[in-house]
Amino acid sequence: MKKLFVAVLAAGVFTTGLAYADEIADRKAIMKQKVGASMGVLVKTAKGEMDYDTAAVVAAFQTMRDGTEGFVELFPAGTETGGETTASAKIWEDMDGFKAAFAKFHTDLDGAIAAAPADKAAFDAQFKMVAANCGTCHETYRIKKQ
Amino acid sequence: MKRIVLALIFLIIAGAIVFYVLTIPKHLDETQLQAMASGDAVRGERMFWAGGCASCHADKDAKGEDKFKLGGGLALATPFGTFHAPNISPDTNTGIGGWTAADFANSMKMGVSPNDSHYYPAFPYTSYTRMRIEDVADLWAFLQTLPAVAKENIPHELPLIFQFRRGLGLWKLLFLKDEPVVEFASADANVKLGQYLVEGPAHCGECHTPRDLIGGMELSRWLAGGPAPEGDGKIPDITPGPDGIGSWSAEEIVFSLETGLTPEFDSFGSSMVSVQQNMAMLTKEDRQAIAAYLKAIPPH
Repeated sequence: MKKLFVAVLAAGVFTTGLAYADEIADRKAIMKQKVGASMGVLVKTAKGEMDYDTAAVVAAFQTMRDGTEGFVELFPAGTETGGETTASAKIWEDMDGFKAAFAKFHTDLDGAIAAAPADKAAFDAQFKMVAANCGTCHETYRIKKQ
Repeated sequence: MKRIVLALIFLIIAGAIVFYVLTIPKHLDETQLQAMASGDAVRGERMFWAGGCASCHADKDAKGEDKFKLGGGLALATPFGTFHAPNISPDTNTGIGGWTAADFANSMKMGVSPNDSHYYPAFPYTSYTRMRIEDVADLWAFLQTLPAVAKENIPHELPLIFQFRRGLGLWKLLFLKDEPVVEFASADANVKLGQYLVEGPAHCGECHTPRDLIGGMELSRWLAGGPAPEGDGKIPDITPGPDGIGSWSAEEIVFSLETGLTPEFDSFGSSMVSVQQNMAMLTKEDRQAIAAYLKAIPPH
């Protein structure tokens, strides 16, 4: 009986840990693959390293928008630490503020997608607005990272 | 027995005198202070951004013009206690409106307040001490053009032993030095300008250099990163070493200081966001100089 109890407990701890690890891993993967990869296209376009292509930048904005749908739900209680997360405790202290900051990111992305900037100048304005969200959110909701 | 008591009393008195002498606040001399008379406010704005005054002394969420309202704001949570950045706006009652140019120069370069006590090094005078006095004069002129903010200072929250400021005199003997950190056998003018900005006004080392047990910068690990001296997390290594930013080109460093975006398409976070906004206000030449210096320093 005691053995069973320990086994159940161990399984519980293991699976809970695993579930949390998943959310932390998911958060990181989304930021890297959906946001970071799209940023690659957008930054290179902004710097003039890639020729301007409306379809390509709109696709990048769209990937960022779709890829981060539900992102703010990946921060349940218990995922404050572990998995080398750089999420700040402020997320859980001010979940509403965090969600509002993310909602603004989505609003700006929707605006950029709808605008479908026809030329580089129009794109630069949209990109600047979208990219400003990165720093604003990371300033408060991410800890210093190495 | 009587002799032992007398000897002890003598030792205590001698010790107290030595402590008193070693911890006397030091000031700039008259010759050095002469330059303070010729400050230029227009030039001073560059030092305002390089020095990052607004990042601590403006309201935490200040954007745009509000960065010029230096009523104090940021709370720095450190292992030694919590420091509250004071009001340095020209308000006479709550700010530094009553200061003289010499008061300001002594605060920046010597870490001494107008009432002759030591400042805590949460105020990064260990870096500002490397600033040219002419630049301090320009900054002083610029600060006087900013709006006065009437806001009382919040007292620091420190354990009792650290509330005795006199002891900081000993700390300053160890750590307040105005010679350059990195010695270059030969360096071009660009690297030298970057060195001045990084080691002096921009005070990059205050966060990016690890600190020892008593809070002094470990200059042998200059800009090698480590646990954050305030707040949570770790500060990145910004030397060209394997854990640092050696893979970033000078152009990429300049771009990141302009935009807050890293070559990996991540963004700066935490306190670096505000720092980057300051750096973006400098000239491109200044950012290029900073990048050239960061490429030239010893890797860690």
